[in-house]
Amino acid sequence: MWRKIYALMSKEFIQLKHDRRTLALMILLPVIWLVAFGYAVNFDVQKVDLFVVDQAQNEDSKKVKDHLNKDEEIVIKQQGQTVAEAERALRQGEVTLLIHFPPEYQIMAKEEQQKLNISVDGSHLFSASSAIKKMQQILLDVQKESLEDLKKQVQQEMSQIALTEPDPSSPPIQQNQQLQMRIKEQLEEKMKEQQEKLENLFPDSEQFTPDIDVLYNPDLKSAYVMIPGLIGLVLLFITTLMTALGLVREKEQGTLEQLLVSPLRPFELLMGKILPYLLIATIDFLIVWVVGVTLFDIPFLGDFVSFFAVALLFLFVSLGIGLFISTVAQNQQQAMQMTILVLVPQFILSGFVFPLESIPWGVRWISYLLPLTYFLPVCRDLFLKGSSITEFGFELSILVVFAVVILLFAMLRYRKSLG
Amino acid sequence: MIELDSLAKRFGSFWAVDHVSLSVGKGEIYGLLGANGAGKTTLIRMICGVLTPTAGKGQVLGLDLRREQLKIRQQIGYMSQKFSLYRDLTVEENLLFYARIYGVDRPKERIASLIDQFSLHQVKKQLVSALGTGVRQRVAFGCALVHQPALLILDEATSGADLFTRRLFWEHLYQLAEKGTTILVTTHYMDEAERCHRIALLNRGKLIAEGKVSELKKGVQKENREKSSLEDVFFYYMNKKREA
Amino acid sequence: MIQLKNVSFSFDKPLFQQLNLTFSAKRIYGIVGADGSGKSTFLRLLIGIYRPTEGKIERSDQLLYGFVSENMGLYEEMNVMENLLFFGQLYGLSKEESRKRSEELLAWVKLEPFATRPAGKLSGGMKRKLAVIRAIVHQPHCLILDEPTYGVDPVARQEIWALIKKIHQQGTTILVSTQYLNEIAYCDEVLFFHQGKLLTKAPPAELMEQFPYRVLSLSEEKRLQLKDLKQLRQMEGVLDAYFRGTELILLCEDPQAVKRAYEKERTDLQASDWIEIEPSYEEIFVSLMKRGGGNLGD
Repeated sequence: MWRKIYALMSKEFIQLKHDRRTLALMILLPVIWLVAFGYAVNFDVQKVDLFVVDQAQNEDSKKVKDHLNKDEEIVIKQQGQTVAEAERALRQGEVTLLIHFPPEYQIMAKEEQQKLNISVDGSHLFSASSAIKKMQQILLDVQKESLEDLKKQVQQEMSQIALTEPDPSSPPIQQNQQLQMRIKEQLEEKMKEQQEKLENLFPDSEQFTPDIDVLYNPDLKSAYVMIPGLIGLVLLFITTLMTALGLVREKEQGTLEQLLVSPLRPFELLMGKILPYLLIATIDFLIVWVVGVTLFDIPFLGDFVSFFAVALLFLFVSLGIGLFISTVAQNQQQAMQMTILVLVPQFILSGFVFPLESIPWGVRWISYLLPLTYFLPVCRDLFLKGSSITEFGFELSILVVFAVVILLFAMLRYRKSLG
Repeated sequence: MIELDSLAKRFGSFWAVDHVSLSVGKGEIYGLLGANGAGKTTLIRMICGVLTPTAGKGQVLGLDLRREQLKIRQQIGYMSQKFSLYRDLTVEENLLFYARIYGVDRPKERIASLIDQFSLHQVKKQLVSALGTGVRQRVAFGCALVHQPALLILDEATSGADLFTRRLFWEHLYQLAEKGTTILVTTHYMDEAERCHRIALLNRGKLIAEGKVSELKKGVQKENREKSSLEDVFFYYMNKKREA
Repeated sequence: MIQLKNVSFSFDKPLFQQLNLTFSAKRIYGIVGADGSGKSTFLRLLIGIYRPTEGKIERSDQLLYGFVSENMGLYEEMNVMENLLFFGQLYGLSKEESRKRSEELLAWVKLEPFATRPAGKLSGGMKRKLAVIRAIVHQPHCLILDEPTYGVDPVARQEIWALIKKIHQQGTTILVSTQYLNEIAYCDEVLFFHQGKLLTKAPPAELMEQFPYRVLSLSEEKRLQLKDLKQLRQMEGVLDAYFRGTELILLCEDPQAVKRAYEKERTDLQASDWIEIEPSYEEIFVSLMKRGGGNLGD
């Protein structure tokens, strides 16, 4: 039995050897996707282009601008005098962010016309939200600093009052002196109290903002979330497409018919078709894993063996899907279309790109019918959190059900389509 | 070698093969002639052990059609119209693959002798996709014979090539038959059918005539009182059935 | 109607050389040969899809063609009627004209019940018929069919030929290529192609008459074997020998001489075991190929 399966497998690899394009596709595709999702489709925006309209030209506006200049991610690209020209630049997409210092601008604004105006181009979704975040951060810094200055100023002024010595030129009167000293002491005490009170009124700039402690992906890099997800997507794509195409191609060439009249058992034929792609998918899995961990420095906190085991389980699901497609499709074109039909929703709805929670229920129920939806959280958590496989009883059992049902269904259809 | 007793196959309510009985002897070249949908392919698939009959009995090479399908398939060589070769494999790789599938002893030696026999030396390292129809046919023929089958089935595999190639091919078949291989041919080419030792005419799943081509011709000639070609014979029986 | 004057054509390698041929109106021309013999190239040369490398092809004025290629070129996802209407309009028929003509043609070939079926879902024979009537929507003077019966079963083949004859009766010139030798009988004139060479152009009856050999059949009871065949082939005066079912067919110039010579080898053979038969087109083709420098495999 194994000799025949081996014969089928080696045939598959010889075919791949001759068809360099497909082979290259299968090995390079994961890498290309990895780079694409890791770098290009990086949802972390690096640079924000800014237009500054400074009608105030005062110390406060200078202070803000200094801060902006110091920031590496915000680039003051253009400056101008009118809001109109700035808005034009924004509309034409030359800049994504526009800040306008009104003539009476003050950092510690007390009135509407002293406030800073910020406009942002919302059509560049990710740039806009990241620009807003950046600006808020910077303004917070500026305010913190101003507050600090204010505090210092108050302190200074206070101490100046305290340190005002009685006029030495006035004739010293002994009794008076003692009285004066007492008054002064009391006054100083009062002043100190007052000062402390005043100081307490100022928030401590260090405690001004909450401590946000980001666990598991401390830099909030999208690559960190993307790559474990990408493993799922690559496995799904390669195995589904290759198994679907592989069998349909044999159907088209008439070689399947030839195999059917040979003394091959259906099981042997099935294994001969599945195992090669299982092997290739495993290699792809390793490529994505290694590249992810080394090139993108993604910390792999999990246990590799259990991670691999889960991936293998998921592979059986996607092999089953591919096999099923191959029993329905009449030619390679149809197989291709059906594969895309199966893959696109998984790409969009599984939580790979958009978090499940952000998908409205009208569509979200579809998500729960897709195997990738269950594989992704397991994959991410094993990768980033180092969770134990035992925590995912629910997801894993659903995947097992998927694998068993789809493979059974495919095998039944397969027998039927052959008979 | 082939003994069919009222063999039938039904798909839904449609009898694709409607109780066909026939027997083919060792070393005989037997032709199945019929229009599309006459039941040739279904009949062949049952004989190959790919389809299980709905009714009737049958033995192929002394093996039961229902119970010993795998053993039957081990001893059958099959070549179809499409030539069923992997276009993305070389000639040699195709032969070796089929040799392994059939578990041939010393596959390399066997394919070397096939390459000799079908003069494939010059093309053995070439991909099948690069070959012309004639050469492809020879390769497919080699693949079908790789395990030295006792029964060779040619499912519309003899068309398309030029006269010389076709004649060469048939000479191979006569040679195999002489050495004891039984050969079953389906075709809708009259001149191919005429090369068989015996033919059966199929129409709508039923066997409507059987015998040597010359005898069938003579029979129809008597009725029509003029010289008949095999095509005349074919339409004579087709129409007779329709009238009945 | 169409005249080839010193036409040569090369396609990778030289194919046709110095052809001087005339095709007259209202005849059926059969272009016969195997796959890759040059049939399709020749037809495409006639229509003008290919241009001759040398020489000239003259066509009578205002000659309208209808052409059906081997793969038929139907729009598989469009239905039967839509296929016809589209081509009618392509040839400048108005919508009403086109519809009228299409209905008439569908009635001709009894395809009306399938008017709304997608072309891709028709049987092989029906597809061929549709492709043929689609090519005559604009009532061409000359209909060129590239292998209209290829891969089609005998019943459908007969129907297609009935259709071709019907079109011919309307006064259309037909050029049809085929690899089925028995279809030669339907043609007024036949052109044999072999390995890119034109072997002959003549009416079939003339070919029969001018066939220089005689054909013998050796009785089936004697169970002649391959070694006998090979021996006969080597004999002097034997042009060709091959098996046809249970018969052994022999091509020779002088039957008596062959009989006498062979009876020395096989004493069990009697004069009555030899039957002289009429040559088939296969024998004619083979003898032409041999004379044309073809190489009969051994």
